[in-house]
Amino acid sequence: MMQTKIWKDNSQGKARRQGATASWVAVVLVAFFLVLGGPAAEGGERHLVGYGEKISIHTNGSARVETTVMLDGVTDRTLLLPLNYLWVEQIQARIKGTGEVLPAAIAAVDGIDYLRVELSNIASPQGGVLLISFRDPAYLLWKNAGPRDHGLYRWKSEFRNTSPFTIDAYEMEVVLPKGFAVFQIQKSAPALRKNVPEPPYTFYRDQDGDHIRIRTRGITLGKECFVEYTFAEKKRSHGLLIGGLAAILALLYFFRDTFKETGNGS
Amino acid sequence: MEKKSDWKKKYFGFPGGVLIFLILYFMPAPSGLSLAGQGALAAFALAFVWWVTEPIPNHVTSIFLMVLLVFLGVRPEAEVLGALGLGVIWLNIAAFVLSSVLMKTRLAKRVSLMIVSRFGHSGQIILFAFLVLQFLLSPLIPSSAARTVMTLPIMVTIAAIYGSTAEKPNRFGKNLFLSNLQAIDMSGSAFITGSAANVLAAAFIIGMASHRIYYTDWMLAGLPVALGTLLIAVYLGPRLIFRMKAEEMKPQTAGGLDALNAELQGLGAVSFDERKGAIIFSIVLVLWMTDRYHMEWFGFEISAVMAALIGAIIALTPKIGVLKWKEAEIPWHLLLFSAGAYAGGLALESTGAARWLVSMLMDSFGIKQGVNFWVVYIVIMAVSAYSHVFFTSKTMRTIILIPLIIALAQKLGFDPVALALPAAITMDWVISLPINAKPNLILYSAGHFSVSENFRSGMIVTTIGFILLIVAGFTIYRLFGIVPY
Repeated sequence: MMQTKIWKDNSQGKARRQGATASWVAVVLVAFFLVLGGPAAEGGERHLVGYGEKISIHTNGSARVETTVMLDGVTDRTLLLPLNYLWVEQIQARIKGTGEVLPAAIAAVDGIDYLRVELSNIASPQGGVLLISFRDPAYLLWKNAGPRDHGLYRWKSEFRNTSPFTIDAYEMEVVLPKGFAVFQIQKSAPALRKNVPEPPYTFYRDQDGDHIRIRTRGITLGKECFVEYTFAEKKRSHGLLIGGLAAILALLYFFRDTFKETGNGS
Repeated sequence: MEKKSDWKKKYFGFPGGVLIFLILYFMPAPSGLSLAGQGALAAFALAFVWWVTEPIPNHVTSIFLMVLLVFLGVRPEAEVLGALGLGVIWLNIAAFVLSSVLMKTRLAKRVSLMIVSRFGHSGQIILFAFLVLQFLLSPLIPSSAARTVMTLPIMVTIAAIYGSTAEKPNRFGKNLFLSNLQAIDMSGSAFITGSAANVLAAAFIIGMASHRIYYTDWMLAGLPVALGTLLIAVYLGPRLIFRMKAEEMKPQTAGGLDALNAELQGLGAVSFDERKGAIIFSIVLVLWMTDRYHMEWFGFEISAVMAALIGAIIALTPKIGVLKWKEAEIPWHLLLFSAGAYAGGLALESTGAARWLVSMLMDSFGIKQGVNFWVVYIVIMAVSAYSHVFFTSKTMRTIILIPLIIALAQKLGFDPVALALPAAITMDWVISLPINAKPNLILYSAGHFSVSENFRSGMIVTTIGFILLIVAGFTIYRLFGIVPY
């Protein structure tokens, strides 16, 4: 097991906003790198058949990220995977089933950060499932998220493929902090289309909290998958409840004669 | 003075709506339903109770619903208020301008008197005559809203002859308007060209189930059920739903039919204004009927709304037209009702609440692998027939339900057409609330029936249709090879 703690920037909000721009720069650089025929381009187009991320957000804004990578067809001994998080610590990597622990760390190649996993220790990576987990201590920046109108918080969870692999099937699952529920999905990529019966995202609730899941296929270099959502505290305002009950009593009392006498409302 | 039952309905409907809102809003949100969806459901339920019990005027309830949706953060203010600018509202405005043209020029009266003098010995025959008329128009004019606008002035005039007005509607008026509402919506299910939703459903069946649906396939499935349902509905309407006495089935004009015949004679030759009215109406009608050629002719398509607005502009143009603005009788309060109701319906759809309700209905029936085909058939038909209450759009319901049904059939190992085609027939059965379809809103705006009357009648006729669909499944659909033996 390899443990790494990397703090890349202290100006949290600003850095987060710059994330998207940085991603684009990274994409351009990787594309340039590929055109030049660097190491990432070896062997032509390569695929990861399945790639999943589960982002469990805690109430302090930190998140535990669990990544699942299907290794079918992968021949690389060193795997460079996309990294879409600005703060990463406690990286762990292992093979599902056998439990083999693999060295994993952040690696910068030509200024682009990757999650590098060494597969050279295992006999054959093909067919296995790689599990990677790490912690982002400042994933959700509460002060940037809200609260906005109606006490809503708004956040975007995104993944951009900066690796040389085409990801055939991608799934992102976001677990909201305890005590919060999904208010509404605002935007997503792939987007909700009126002529497509099923939305690309679903949400459900279990004992762990509120989950948002988005799936897509065929994420090539530079393409992204994201879900932007509003969420709110599960508990509703008691003022509305008290006001509503008071309104019921008031209506029963004040209108007890009105309709009878005047026939109002017809 | 109101009846005691009406007073009770209103008195308890008022706090009852608030109570239902509080229960739905404060209960823990079920899995799969967002907080916005829960808010939309709660707000819509409150409005629904108030529309049905009418403790306050329906348009005030609609405005309250719009405010509530904004206050709860369910939809943005601009979007909610924007409902007043929707095409259906403009179609309503144009419809009432055109209707005013036909009323002012007495063209509607002439046509109505001709129909009444020919078929008007009893109100029942009039109702059947309108049913035939709607079935004749249905394959010719795919827009149900256009068919409504076209026949509305005749309905209004005939209702008046039978003593029913917007101010004082009677049971003939309720029967006439509601049977037309049902005929306009349901006759569309008889033909694949009867509505855009049918074409979409057929496309899903072709695309997902790889099965070609021919015009006759659709007609064999849709026509017997739609026609049978509507014939029963028109027969039962005056006898069961809005029971009429024998004297109410006759024209209420003094002197009866002889007086009406005399009145028709008294109208004399067709006036210049009547001719102008007929020309304006013909222009609109031609535009509606030729919409598929517009691209070729004009390079763009003139929608049903735009065609009606063109007619309204001509009618209101001095010298050319026949109407002054102040003569156009537009029921603005009912347009406000429509806008609010539409905003509520759209909130249900855009927050995913309508989709969640449908999925929950499917799940609650516990359909699993190995279940008998007929159990699935009956459940699917029930869900597809009755789910229209939650939707404002046939197209949206088709998009949500038909692929779901095809996927379910494939998963269970049934022929997708056996479930999807009969279910697709029900997509046009949007007959229970004014917000379910444009024709409903337009006819509701004429003021001859209430929301609760629409709901009661719609539920009864939907049930008749549902039963016929089950009977057809066991009989003629087997014969035609639509469902397995």
